[in-house]
Amino acid sequence: MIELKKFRRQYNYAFIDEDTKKEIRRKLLKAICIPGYQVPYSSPEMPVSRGWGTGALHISLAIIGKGDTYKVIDQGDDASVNACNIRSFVEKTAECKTTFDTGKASVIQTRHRVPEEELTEDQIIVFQVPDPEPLRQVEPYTKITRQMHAEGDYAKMWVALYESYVQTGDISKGPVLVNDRYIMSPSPIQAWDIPNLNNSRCLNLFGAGREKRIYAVPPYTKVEPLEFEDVKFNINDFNGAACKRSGEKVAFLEEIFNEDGKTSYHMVNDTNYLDKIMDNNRPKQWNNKYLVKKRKELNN
Amino acid sequence: MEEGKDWLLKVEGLTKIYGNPSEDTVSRTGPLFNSNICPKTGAVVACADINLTLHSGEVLGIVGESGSGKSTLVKLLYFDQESTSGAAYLNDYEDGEQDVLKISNQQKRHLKNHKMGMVYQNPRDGLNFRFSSGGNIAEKLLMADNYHVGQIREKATALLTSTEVPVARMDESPKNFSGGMQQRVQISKAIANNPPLLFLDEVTTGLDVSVQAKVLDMIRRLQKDMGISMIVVSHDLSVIRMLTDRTMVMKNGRIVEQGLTDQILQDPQHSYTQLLVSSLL
Amino acid sequence: MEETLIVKDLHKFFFVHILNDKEINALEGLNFSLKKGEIVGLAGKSGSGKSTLIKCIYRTNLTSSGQIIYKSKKYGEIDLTKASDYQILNLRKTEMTYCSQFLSVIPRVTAVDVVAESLITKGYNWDAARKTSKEYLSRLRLPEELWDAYPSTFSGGEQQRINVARAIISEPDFLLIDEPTASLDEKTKDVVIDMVLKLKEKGSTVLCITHDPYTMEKLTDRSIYLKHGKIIEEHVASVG
Repeated sequence: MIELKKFRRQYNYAFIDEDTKKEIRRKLLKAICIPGYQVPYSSPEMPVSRGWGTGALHISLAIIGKGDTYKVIDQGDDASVNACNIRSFVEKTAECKTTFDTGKASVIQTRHRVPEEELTEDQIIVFQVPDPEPLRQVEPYTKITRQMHAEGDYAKMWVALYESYVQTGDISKGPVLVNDRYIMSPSPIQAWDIPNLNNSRCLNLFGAGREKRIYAVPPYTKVEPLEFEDVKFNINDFNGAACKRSGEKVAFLEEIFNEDGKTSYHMVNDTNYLDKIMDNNRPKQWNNKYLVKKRKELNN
Repeated sequence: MEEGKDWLLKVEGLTKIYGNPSEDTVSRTGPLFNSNICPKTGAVVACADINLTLHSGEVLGIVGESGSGKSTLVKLLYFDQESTSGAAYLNDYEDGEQDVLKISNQQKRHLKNHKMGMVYQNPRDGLNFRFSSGGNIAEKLLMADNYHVGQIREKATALLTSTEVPVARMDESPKNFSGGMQQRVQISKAIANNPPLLFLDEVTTGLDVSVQAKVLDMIRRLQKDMGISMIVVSHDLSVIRMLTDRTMVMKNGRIVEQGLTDQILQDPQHSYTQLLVSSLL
Repeated sequence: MEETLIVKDLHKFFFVHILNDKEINALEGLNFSLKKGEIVGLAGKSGSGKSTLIKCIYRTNLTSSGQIIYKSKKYGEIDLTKASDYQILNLRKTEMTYCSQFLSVIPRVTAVDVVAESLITKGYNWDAARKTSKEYLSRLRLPEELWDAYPSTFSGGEQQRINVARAIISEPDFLLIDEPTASLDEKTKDVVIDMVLKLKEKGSTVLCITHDPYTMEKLTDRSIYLKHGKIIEEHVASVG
């Protein structure tokens, strides 16, 4: 590799060259201007295989600066192997601070979760997206899915939701409608997290490296799960289970099986949130109508 | 003569040409030349200069051999294909003053979902085999802004009952059904929103005779009960005789004769129609 | 009395392309009229053009030249040879009925429903229509076990009765009827004649083809004889 003498590094700042970062930023601006619309982008090669968070990594590296504080979670966990590797890669190449503390991070990269702690206007959350096209399950051709989005023709998506209800009785895995216009995949985050995208104070960016797509939900944007008049979306229900360590009930709980493979216990999935509760330093949680209802039920 | 405002569909000069037409492509093709291929450019005239008026509650037959342009005609009117020229008006759309062939795809879809139904010869064209039968019917209802699952299933049950499809198989894909049953599911879907206008394109072709009879009986009963206006495309004069009030005969993409169905069958004027009628078994 | 139908210089020829452009002259310059409430018989040997004439009036045949002026309730005076298909369909639905010699019905519809359908097009509901239909069938002495069977399997006389019932039940203003009594027994013949006379009482005009002297005598006010597509004789039936 050619050594860049000027910066005494073997690579450009934040790994990606400036022209490509500029391209990604332009695509991000377009995505933010058209909430929920999938913008194609270059998706340059990274020292990580596509499908391992490259899309989100592209976005993180394109927007990060030396003054930022970076956090990565993988299914709620700051300490998983992937999270650690991505964090140290960004830390090394972007020369930024890193943290486990959700409240202190300015850029949070995530896989499959939204932190339990409410995000603010000063924060950006970057989602790793495996399959950006929600219509793919009903339409194999991209030419046609793009036309369907353009014309707001979501008939098949609704039928898929109907079929999902008929087969499983559940429609809470389905996609969301953004800003009354585009149907969008919220990435495979938990149903528990989906309502937090609605009217959120933070900026939500989504990157699908393998599929070369970027999309966004700007702050204070309407995000509604698809639901029927008589069959409603709902967040996960843990049947009154409580976290084994903290006794917490109103948080996304992970079911962990004991060695016998039969009995199990629950734990708060967001490690930083759990740590703060254990430290008696409970942060402000998100507020949405589903959580309000859940809190009410549990208090009674 | 004054025919009042009870027309439902008006079509003027509808033309569909594949390939590159020259100026006299239309004038050098047609039944007179016994060809619909332009001798100059090789462009194919699927149909040309089609004018028709359909009244509410009326059943219009279109008969002709394969390649005469009859299927193209209904596909143009159902927006499955784009016309080369011509106009179509629907009485209850924008007071019948807007050419519906010129509106946006979104508006066309809205029109299709609220005012029209189509039954294709091949159930695969009208049904999505990746969805259940109920789901296929639900698609029409959802697109007409019915987002109540309970009501959707109730309506789908009623439709499948009236078309004699076992309701117990509602949640099964039509892929597993017999041809006749698939056709009945397709009809259920097409009439799900009580459309005032229904297109039937060779709906019984390829079915066993006994199944054909059942499907025809059902269409006839639905027409009587709901008063739907229909355009029935068929190469089979006995289907036309059984279902329609008026008939248009097409050849090489043109209408060669039109009239009351009993007149077309008993006193055909055009040589082609006479041949067609005399070939009736 | 005012005229319901005026036929002026009516010509009809068939041009058969598939028989080397053979031309057949069926009607040659017919002139006659029907007064409102009249029952007129139409007679002549087979091939004389009786059915062709009736079909021209009903538009099952297109007229080659001439006029057929009909005084309709819906459109006033209208030339049936030039009216639009749509107008003819409307007239057929509301005021003009044709009862052919042979029953041609939709297969797989029961006798009761075949007859009841005439009322459905007039806006009856199925229950009421079926009830009236059964009354007519029983008056025409059609055995009750046939009511729910398919007419295509019936004998000639039975089919004839279905045909007559279907035409008369909707009480048309103008009835064209082809051999209504041909294959019926004496008793049923009288029932049919009686039914048509009842229609006349209500003001209907009837043009009736018949070969049967008894029917001609009992039913018609006067008669027209055709030969080779021309009127050869017009009779006023002897009253009483």
